Amino acid sequence: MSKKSEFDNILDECLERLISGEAIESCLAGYPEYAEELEPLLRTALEAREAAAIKPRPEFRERAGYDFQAAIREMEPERNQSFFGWFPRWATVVAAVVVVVLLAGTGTVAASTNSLPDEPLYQVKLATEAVRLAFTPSPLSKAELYAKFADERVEEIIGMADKGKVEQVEKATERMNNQLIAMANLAVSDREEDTQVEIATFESAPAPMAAEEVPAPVPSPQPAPAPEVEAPQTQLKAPPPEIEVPTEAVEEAPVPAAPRAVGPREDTGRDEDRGRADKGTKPEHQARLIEIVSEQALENSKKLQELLERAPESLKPALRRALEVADNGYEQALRNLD
Amino acid sequence: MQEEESLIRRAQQRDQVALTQLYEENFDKIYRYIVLKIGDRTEAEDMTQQVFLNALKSISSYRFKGMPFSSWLYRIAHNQVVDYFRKKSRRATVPLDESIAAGEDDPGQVAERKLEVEELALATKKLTAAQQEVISLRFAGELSVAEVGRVMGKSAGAVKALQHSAIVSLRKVISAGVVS
Repeated sequence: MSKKSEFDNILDECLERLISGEAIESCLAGYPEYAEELEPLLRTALEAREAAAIKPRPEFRERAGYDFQAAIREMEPERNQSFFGWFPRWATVVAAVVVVVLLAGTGTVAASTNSLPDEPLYQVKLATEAVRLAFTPSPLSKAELYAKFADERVEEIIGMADKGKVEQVEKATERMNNQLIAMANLAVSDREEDTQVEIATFESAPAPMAAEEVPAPVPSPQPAPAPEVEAPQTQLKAPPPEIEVPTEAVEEAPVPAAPRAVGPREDTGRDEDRGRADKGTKPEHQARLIEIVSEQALENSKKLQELLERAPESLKPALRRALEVADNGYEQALRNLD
Repeated sequence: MQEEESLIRRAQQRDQVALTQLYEENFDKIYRYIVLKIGDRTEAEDMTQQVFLNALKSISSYRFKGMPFSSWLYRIAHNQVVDYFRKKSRRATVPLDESIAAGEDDPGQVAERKLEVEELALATKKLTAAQQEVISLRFAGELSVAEVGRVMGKSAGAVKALQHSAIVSLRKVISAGVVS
């Protein structure tokens, strides 16, 4: 063994001993002939190790952990998505209508309107929403529907939080996120239908695998990325819905002349406002939609904030996420509408 | 090692507990590794998160070859860091401001006060790429020499030699007050 590699070994051995808690002096005593050369190097190594021993901020740790858990959950629906994938999209729409009306019946559909995620009729409610979207042709009207559905999700978050069901709060938040993203996208697509839009994304596109099975880096989610010549394109992406009626597929299907909705429409005060938004010219419609979304953004943010304040600690991370999703989603939608 | 193989297999079947365990075991180390590489804690937060999301998306294609799972994560993190510097250089932003790390200290006092991670990151920039990698993996990632060798595709002897030269260079940089 050369003298140099012997010294390399001694240095490494001493480093390991220091890492396990031994004092420098004890190590130097074992190698007196190298002590003079070893000591400064060991002190530098120790200093570097101490400097590198930082901890992530607790808030970051919590947020990252939450996002990671959400990403795990988002992986699951992919396995269940293939059934309707076999059918043409128009057939999916027809199937959805038939399933909802025949199996559930119009009375059931009406009864499902106020159902919560832990109730049996909730799937009917989601299916009805998908069908209503399918028969809504204009992007602005669709955006309006998404706004209404996001409102529903907030009510569901509150309902589920009151019951202490954290997992259902998370699911309702994800649905709300998807609907706000879809609304924001529609707001843009209505104005710039054939234009490539550069808008913030809440979710990064999956990266292809690079060589050696290591995934290539994808851009980190950022609130407002500066456009870059070679940067991967980012666009708001509405993730697939979790019910058996894929919303995106339904949306893009040919739209026959058919009634707007299968079930009776829920007539809340705000709904009436939205009804008025359907009337008038497109700029008027858009202005009205901005008004609705602005009101909704304030109201829902307030509701969620109040909920967060009174909620038990175990629910707070999920509710903070819901508040963040709502604030970001409405802000993006309003920016796109403006 | 067999335990880790079984953990990875469960994670590949989307077992939430296994995925969470792999995440928890490696999160801090990957964060430290990235901070030391780029010298920016805020950017490192986003990048750390992205490493784990990328790993999650690709875990089904991961093949266990007797190497620690963390070595795969470090390679993802390394690619992420390379990509970060590539984009940063294209944006032509001002390079890492050495005065940030330096502060207004008297160079004579630098040796006496605690070295901060940002200063260490700045100092390692004066090292060769291989020396930087060894310092990051050994001191931030807390890997053994053998594990560093697996990640870098080098023998243990080569890693020990690199470690020695890296510490010598680092000492010179710090003593010369290049970061201060």
